[in-house]
Amino acid sequence: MTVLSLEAGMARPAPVQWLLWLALAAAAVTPWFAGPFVQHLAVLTCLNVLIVNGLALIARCGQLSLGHAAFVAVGAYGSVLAARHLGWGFLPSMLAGVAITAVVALALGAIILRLKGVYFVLVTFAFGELVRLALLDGSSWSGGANGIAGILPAELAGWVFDSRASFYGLALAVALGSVALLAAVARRPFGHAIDAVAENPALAESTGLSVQRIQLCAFVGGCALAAAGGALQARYVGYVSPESFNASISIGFIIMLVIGGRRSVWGGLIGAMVLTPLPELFRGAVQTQHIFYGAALILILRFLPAGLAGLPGPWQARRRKESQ
Amino acid sequence: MDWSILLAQATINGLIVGLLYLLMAVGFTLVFGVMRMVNFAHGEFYMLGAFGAYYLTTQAGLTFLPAVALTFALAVAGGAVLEWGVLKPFRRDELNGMIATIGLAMILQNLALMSFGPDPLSMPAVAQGTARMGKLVVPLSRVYVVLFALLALALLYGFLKHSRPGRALRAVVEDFEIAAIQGIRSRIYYPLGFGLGVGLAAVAGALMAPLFSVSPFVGATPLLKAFIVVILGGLGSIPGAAVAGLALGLAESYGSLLFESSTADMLIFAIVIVMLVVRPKGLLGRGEA
Amino acid sequence: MSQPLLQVNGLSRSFGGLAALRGLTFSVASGEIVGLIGPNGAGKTTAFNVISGAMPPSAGSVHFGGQDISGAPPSRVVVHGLARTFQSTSTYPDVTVAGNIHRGMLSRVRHSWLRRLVGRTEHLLSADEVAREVDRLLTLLDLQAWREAPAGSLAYGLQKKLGIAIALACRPRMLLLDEPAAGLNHEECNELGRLLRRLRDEEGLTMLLVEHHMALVMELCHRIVVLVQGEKIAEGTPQAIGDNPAVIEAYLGAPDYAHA
Repeated sequence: MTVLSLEAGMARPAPVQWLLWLALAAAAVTPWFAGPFVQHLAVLTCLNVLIVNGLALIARCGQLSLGHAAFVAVGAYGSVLAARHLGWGFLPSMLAGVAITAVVALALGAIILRLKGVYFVLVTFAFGELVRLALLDGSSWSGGANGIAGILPAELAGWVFDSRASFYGLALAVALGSVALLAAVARRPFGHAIDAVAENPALAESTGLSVQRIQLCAFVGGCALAAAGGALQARYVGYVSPESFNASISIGFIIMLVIGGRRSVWGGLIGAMVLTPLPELFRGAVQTQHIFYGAALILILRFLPAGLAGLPGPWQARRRKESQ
Repeated sequence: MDWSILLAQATINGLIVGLLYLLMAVGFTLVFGVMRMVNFAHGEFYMLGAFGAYYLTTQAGLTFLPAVALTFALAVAGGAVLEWGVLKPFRRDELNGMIATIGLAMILQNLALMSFGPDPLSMPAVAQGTARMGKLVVPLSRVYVVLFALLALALLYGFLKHSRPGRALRAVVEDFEIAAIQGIRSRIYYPLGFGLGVGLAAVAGALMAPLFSVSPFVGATPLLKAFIVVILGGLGSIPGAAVAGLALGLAESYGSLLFESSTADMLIFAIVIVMLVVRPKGLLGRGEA
Repeated sequence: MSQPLLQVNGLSRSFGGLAALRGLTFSVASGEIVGLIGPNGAGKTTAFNVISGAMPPSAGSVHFGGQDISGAPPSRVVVHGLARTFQSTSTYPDVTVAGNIHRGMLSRVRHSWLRRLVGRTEHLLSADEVAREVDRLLTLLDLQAWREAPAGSLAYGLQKKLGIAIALACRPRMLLLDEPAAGLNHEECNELGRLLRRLRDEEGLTMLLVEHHMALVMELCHRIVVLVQGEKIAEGTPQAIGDNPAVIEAYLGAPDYAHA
């Protein structure tokens, strides 16, 4: 039924699809057979996947957020404070962090989403700085520049995730869950509505799609995913501090999304997988690594605007468009 | 506690810092006006300007003013080449252009780190001694910096107001479409606009090099200030950037008398957010929205 | 039906100091095709934008089907049953023709989070019904041959038809058409006239056109409202308007008058 086959999947031939799924499965399973360092990288990658997928949801609506790390921070600090001051366990405190972030995103989004393009970027950047400064300043509750340490590991139903290997399982499940969520949204009317709003907001609005509500929903959802990532990150690393959530971190998320692919549901995963382990490849040559990031960003923007996820190439993309 | 002296001192400090902000912001808004590009690499050109002044005075033996002038020329040329070579595909492509400048900033900063190392260098003062104006004391080096900054601004003003390329550039900034219709060849004005814009950032960096230290990390704060000023003054409005730059410098200076720095910083960001939401065209209302 | 479907009362809209629209009052009865004409700068576009919800009025009201829709955003106005077309950028160019129409129906899909989010309660469709409705509209507007083509690749006249199809996807009772004949040649214009009449007859659609093309307006509309400098100067049948000296004077010199 051609009308309803509007999914954003790639028109790759079946054998290539199988190969990619196999590669993904292999990559997912490998860390359990490798050393603790690989597991550490794998955990960080999964957390980045979750957070960048949140950014992807916001980007899909046509807005680029340069303050994403701030929402990670609110989720992290929110869940830590709920655990510490209200004595809540892992899951309730994580949900508290996500809920607080959702409320903040709702309030902020209601006033800033009407801004377009670079203005939205600048205002999210300003918000990110504001959050960071507030965290630095509020030492009575936030611990100031030192942050909060001694955070207990995550535990669910009696199982404590205090080893890298076990936490990796949790992180992997959540990361893959976020990809599945994005894929599900992309197939549903809500996902199609997001695309419509991004491509032609006036036309979308005139067909009954309330641009404000749809953008707000996507923005809150994206920030909620970031918050979940923050809450998990706090439990894994064991501490939170304001400098873990500054503008460079937000820029890092954008780089992952752009390189992975802003239009694909796999963009966050690919971007995080490619960029998180990279510092290891560069073995301490930090400057060279950053030059590589900068150059990769410019090259991708110029030659592969759909990101690495768009790699099947322009002719495949045209086939996909025509099968819609 | 003689408040009048404190206030006068704060005014002078505020004006000095305000001039720096003005130079950064005018350059930044020029780039945005011509190319619709939020130039995240603007701070790195400030940083390169500072290094330029440092090396030209300490290694090449130039005196300060010629060093600044040469730094400016090199920055304009370098900026024009970079625009033409790297940023051309992103002209007037707001979001992608902005992301591309993020990449450019990373490249420039890390090239500087690799070439100069992370440690801050201090440049010899432009002049020794102090000047006295009544009860006020101002270091002579600062006075010189202010004079040179005003000279640069006068030259800029003259260029924009009275020269043909300058007027054409202003036309492109004010209304791109009309300028194109009038036959102004934007192919020249993209590299020129970008070059001039980052050249101003380099001049700001060169002028401030003797007053603050020189290191690959000095670009971040001026970039931040440029953002704030340009938002307050209106993206794309040169007069707005000038007025808001001086206003911010003075406000920060007076603010430091009254508030703790962290509160003042947060207040500024809160004001920026409110400005963007309520009046995106900026204070003077001549910017774009 | 005694009550008009669309009732505009004292509608005014100013921009800064400039009054683009002043005290416009007229109505459209169910089943009518009404034309809104006037020279350039008359305020037709402003009237169109205010009625369709793209901007709120400075004063006055708009009632549709007895309900006050003044100041409601376009997404709410559509739910009441008033849809509009666009003069330019009227499609999603990278999506297929069928996909474009599908997007027009998204708010009507039953059992979806989107429906709950935008709050639509009438004329809901299941997934199968959506597919059939898209098919029906493609046939109605004679676009079946291009259903899989990207909308951006279509000829201009076809894109405008697609724009009408997208508006119809919302199941409106009334259609606001923004210069539907702009850029069409003589043959396409005739076809448009036939199409609009067919839509009125077969779909029971009421229509309000803002239009410059005088021949089309004279031939198609039951009544015409004439705006000059933001004010209504005449209203009546095409015959009456064509003979109205004030209208003729307003158009003297305007090139479009040559069409009439």
